[in-house]
Amino acid sequence: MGLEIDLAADICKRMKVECEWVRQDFASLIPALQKDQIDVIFMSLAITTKRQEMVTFSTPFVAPRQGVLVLKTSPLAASVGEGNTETVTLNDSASAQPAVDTLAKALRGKVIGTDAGSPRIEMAQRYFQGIELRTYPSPGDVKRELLAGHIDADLASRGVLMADDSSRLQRIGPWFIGGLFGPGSSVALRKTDPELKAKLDQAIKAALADDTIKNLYLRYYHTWSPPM
Amino acid sequence: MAKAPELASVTDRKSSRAETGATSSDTRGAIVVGSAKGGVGRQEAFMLARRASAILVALAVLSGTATAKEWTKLRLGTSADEPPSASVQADGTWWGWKSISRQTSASA
Repeated sequence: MGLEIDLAADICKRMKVECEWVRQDFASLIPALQKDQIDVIFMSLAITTKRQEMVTFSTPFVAPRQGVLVLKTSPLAASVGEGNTETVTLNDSASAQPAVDTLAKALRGKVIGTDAGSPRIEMAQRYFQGIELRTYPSPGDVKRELLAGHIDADLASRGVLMADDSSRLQRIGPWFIGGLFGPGSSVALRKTDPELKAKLDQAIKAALADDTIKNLYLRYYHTWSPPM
Repeated sequence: MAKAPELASVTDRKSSRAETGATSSDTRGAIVVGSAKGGVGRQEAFMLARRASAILVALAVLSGTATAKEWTKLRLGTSADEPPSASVQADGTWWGWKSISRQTSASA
């Protein structure tokens, strides 16, 4: 069970391949792929220009959503209020600006954490001036730091935001998509495996066409945004 | 004295074209000019043989890469720390990779 476990099972079945999971630290995933220690990075990895210099991506299957997570007891929770369902597209700077400004004003002077190697670092640097940005090896580490009260907010992906198992956290502000997070998230592969990419693309397109992917996201996250 | 540089000039140009991927008609032309000069025909034949060898090597490489790799097993990399890999249990708590992670830590 689990979104990516279920999704991988479906995709592997469509590809008629036997799949096994290999655990790596988040920051080690791309080096592991390049060293042939794994064949794909099976996470909803945002397709960014920086990552495309190192790896290639399958057909995107979801638009990655980003948001800000805080402790419910934090002054930020009171000042900004509970996260809404609004989705702000960073592709359009003008329409995104009011939402960005509101959040940036609230976060000024705060300590924000996010995971190393993610495009959220660039998001923080570009949109949230006057913050102290701290990076951690993994999204889980950031959330633990937030729960421990060592940082004021966690700039995180939808996965982390939806997986609030403590009931002590809440999202503030809107969801953000697009812009530096690219057209969507997908599976990363080595550039030297075009035949694998073709096979993977075919399986993902079929899973998109029959709504398997959409239904899995709705089941686990209650939301799904198609790739842009 | 005046003709020698002119002939040499033509021969050099043709040879150069043969080396840099001239068409077959260009190559034939080069052989004719070379034959007129004497001794250059063998050089052109050598060049043709060299090009033919290069083509054969290229074809061998292409035929090798044209055979698609058969993927029967896939190693899926994951950080195992991303909550999407976990899931919601009936009581609302999350499990999945987190549980695996704990077990791994405990056994390490």
